[in-house]
Amino acid sequence: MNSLIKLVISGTMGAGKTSAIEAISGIPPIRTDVAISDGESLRPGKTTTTVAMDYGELALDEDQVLVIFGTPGQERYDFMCKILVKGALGMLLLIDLSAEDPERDLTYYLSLYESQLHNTPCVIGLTHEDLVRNFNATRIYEIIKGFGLNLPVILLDARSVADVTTAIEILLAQAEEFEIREAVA
Amino acid sequence: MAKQRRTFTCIGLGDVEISRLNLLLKFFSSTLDVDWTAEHDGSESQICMVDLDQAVGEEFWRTGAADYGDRIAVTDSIRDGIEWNVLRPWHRSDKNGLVAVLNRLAAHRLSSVLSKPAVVLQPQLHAIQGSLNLAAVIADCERELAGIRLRFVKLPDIWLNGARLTYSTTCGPNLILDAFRSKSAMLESAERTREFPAGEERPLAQLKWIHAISTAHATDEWGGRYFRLKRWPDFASLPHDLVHLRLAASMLRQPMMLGPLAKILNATIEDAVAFCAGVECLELLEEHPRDTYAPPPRPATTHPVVQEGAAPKSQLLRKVLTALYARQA
Repeated sequence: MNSLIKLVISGTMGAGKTSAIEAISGIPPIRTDVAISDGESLRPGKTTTTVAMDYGELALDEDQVLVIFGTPGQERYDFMCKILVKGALGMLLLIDLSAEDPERDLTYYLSLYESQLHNTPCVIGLTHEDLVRNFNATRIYEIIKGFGLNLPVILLDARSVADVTTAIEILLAQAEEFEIREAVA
Repeated sequence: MAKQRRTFTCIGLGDVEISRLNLLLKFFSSTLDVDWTAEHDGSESQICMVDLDQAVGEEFWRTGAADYGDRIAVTDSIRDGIEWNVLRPWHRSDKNGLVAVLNRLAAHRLSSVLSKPAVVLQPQLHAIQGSLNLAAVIADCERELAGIRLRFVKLPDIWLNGARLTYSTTCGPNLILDAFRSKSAMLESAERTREFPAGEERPLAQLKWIHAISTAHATDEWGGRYFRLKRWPDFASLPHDLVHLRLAASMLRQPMMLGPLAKILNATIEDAVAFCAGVECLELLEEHPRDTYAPPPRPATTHPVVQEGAAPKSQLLRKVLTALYARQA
């Protein structure tokens, strides 16, 4: 019987969740994008958004498959995000730096997942840095610290297999650290 | 007649060692022709005192100087950028040796060395010997917002842009890391420039990190001290091994001593020191007083199961990475 394990990619609309799944999925991702119609903040060229969840798979061996869920980027679907992240191996939280208020977005998502982030490996990937003139890294760290967390933050190109792989490497390092801590507790 | 005062640069020595050296110099000042002071960044920057335990040009090792072991050598400037002219190795207990070396420098060598047109030395720039001094050049570049072109033996040129805090070159970061680690790349010269090649600019922090982790050496100065990471480094832009990530995850949680930490993670002390040198140059490392914290946890011999009946997350994530590496290969 195949056993499934899951990885969740969450974050703001347009941050690159679907691209990140495409980067590492072993199958063509199943997308639930529809044309944007409600005037939510857009980037030129971005015409669709995910309304349910994106889905990708990566076969680990004959018996095990990693399923990769991309959460919808719109806040009205947030109830799904909390369900998806339960029991996940880890979460990649993508924040679009070129959005209107990335600090507010980060605060929002940290609040949303606050209860899970203390024991679920999580990496924050900041995307679209190339579209931003000045980005305040210090402020990002202050926000994270404000939640009593010390999460890894990387600048990430969601289309890059290497960048997404680095994020998963960091998830592994965190998972090991959690386990060592638990072992000596 | 008052004696001339001069300072010389010490490379590879810590503050404590430099203080001791200066005490020694003071004690023996009556036997010296010049009043020398050892500093991290002395005015006579073409004269370097190098701790052989830390690092020295590979040429030096090749010529058998490694046999001297725990000794200090005084070297003069490199004229062609590669060759090390070792005047005389000096054992720490050999006080007369030090005096002789310094007097010889003052009397014979110094004038000839300084009178030669400096191939590598520009105003305000450090003399550059081997990869060891690259850190000093980068520091100069940042401080002065300067543009600097670095020429290497066996590595493409690197342009540093201090104003933009970037660097550019034609080879990838992993190639630079390999070249520095294998000591195959020797820094030949550094000259100021206002022209930069077109193409990709990378963060200067990346080059600092590469240099630091490839040249760090495990020495006593890292022992018995507690270190903590201020925050996660941006590993997406830093060439790294998995062990760096594991060290980062642990050092974020609590201050750790490097020896026990390496044991917990089944890493080597060299890995831990290299990582700390890397994050220190990124200003992400902080030291904590040793009596403030409880000893670090005992090593875990096996990875525990997080959820009953389920494989630990780390084991599963490792499988994920194996699959991803296989796809990228």
